[in-house]
Amino acid sequence: MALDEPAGPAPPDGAARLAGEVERRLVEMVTLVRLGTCAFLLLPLAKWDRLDRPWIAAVVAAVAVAEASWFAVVTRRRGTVPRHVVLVDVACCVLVMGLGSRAVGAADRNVVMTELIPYSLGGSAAVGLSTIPARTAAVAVGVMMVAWVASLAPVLPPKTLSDLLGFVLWVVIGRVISTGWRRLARTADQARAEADRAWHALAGQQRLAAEAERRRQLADHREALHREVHDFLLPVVEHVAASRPSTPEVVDWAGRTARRARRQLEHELGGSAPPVLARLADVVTAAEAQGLRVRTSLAARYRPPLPVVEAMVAAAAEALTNAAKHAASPDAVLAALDLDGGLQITVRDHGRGFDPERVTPGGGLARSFAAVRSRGGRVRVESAPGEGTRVSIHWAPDGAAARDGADGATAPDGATVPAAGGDT
Amino acid sequence: MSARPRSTLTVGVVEDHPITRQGLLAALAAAGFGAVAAAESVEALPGAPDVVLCDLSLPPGRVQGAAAVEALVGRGCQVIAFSALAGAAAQLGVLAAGARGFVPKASQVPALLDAVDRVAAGGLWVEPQLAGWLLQDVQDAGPGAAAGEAGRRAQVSVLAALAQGDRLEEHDRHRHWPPGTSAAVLAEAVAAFRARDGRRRPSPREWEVIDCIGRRGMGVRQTAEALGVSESTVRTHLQAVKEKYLRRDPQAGAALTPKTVATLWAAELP
Repeated sequence: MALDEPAGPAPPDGAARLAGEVERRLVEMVTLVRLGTCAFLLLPLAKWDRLDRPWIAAVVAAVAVAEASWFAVVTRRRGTVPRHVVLVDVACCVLVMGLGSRAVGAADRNVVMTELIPYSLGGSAAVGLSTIPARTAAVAVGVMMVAWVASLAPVLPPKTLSDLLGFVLWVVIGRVISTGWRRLARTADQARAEADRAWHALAGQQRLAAEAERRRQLADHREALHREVHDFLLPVVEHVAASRPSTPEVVDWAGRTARRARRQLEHELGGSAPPVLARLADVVTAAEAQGLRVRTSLAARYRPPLPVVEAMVAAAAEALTNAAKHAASPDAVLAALDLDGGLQITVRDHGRGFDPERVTPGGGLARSFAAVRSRGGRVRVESAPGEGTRVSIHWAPDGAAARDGADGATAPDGATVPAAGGDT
Repeated sequence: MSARPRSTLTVGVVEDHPITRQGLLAALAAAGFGAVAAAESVEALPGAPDVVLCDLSLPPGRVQGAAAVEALVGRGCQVIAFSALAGAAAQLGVLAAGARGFVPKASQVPALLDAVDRVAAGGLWVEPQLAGWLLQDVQDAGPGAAAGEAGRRAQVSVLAALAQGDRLEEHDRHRHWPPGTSAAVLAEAVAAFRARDGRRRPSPREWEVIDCIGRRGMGVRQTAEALGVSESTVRTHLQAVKEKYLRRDPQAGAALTPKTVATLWAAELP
């Protein structure tokens, strides 16, 4: 039984893969916001001549860029936005608002504060996208809102309220996005982990089933081998051990038994061979009981319908019987090969051969050949005096005849006789 | 291919069963070979005989099977493997390892001596069963696997004839080929089989990946960590072993996942 893996995706190689990936993307997003909004702090420097204290704008921009750089380094290294980094960022925002607003006088403060809005809202976004507790996040945003109002004071323009609403919106949007993504990732990772556990459990069951099947087959093989040793090999050995005379019959008996055991063992090693091969192995055993030594070439994978197999095997058995009776050679070869789009069984001997034109067809061979023909097969008998005999039994689904020389193979010289004739 | 007199040939026997070893030595000496030597293992066999008969099942702990054949071929010996029990994988395996033939232990002595003579003369000794399995291999490889369609058909012709009990010389006569043509085609068929087999076998590194994933149930990342390579390297190895498996068994289907293929290969691990 082939051990196959369960259907579906392969198990993950590590837990919480998606959660980690989502956190990495969130960190990238918040770092981009923090670094990108620093650029707005450089805009007041372009109005250097119109500022009352331009050095303050320069210091504020330098501090903000330094903090944003530190922010990027720490978050990239940690793979998350730590709580202390968020709080330092909030503090930096408060500093930028409070100090930056002092670059101009109270009357013009709203002008410079407009440039500070994106950076300050970036602090709010960082709070929202981080994992700090909700209460801490609320306090942090509240502090920034108070600092914003204080920075504008004493002149509060009409858009102050929309500025404050921006702080709230950024933290809420950040919170909704990050919470939703993290929850989805956790759910997906949990599902993967469940699938992983189920996959391993199923694989374990399959392994157990395969092991059980292997043990069953081993038990079957052991029993078959036990029978082989007990019923066939041991009587020969015991006969020899009893020092009984070693007659030619005993030698022949021992040889046949050894070859039978060998075929049995090879069959055990062969796995799930087509039924025709097992049947032919039995045919060989029967032929050897008649004194024929049979070498085999059982290398077919083709599986004709069972009635065809029965007819072909019976014809092969008759051919081997004929070889044993008439070939005057102790050896024969039985082959079962996939040739010409079908199954070909060949019985070959290098005995005395015969002249097909002078042989009268009949007997069991003729009947078995006729049975093959009636099922769409072809039988070919090739022989010549001194050249031995070859009987080829072929069947293909479309009833195609075996060509001269299967798949380009040639046939021995000698006449070809109809399937019904040529019984030697 | 020229035959040397038996008296000038040295023949070695590697066989762990004393009775079989002595029987083979006696048969070879009686047949007139110049010198015969025998040992119970490849390591214990002295020198480099011209032809070595090597049993495939040797004592545990000793080099054996295809590895034994490779070791003897490495010494410059022409090796004939023999065994009482060897299936398709074992016989084709020793042929791929460089053996010049395979002889079943149930063979008659004259057949064994013929095999030694043929191999000593530079030829190959292929019994019908081995020819049948080689024929299957050529058929599985399909067109283009050999040197052109004509070459493939010639190989099929020779292998089918051998599998059906014909001799090489008979086949030359029947095809009206010059003497020795079938032997040359057989040599081409075996060389082509060895080349195909080499492309179908995983490399040592690929076997390590198969062991991790197919047998120990590890994932790609774990395998990468265990072998000290990247995950993409492991995936590349998996793809390679899948392609090799499909080359060996085209009917297995391209839908097999690499992990399944690793499991299938793992069944061949010792």
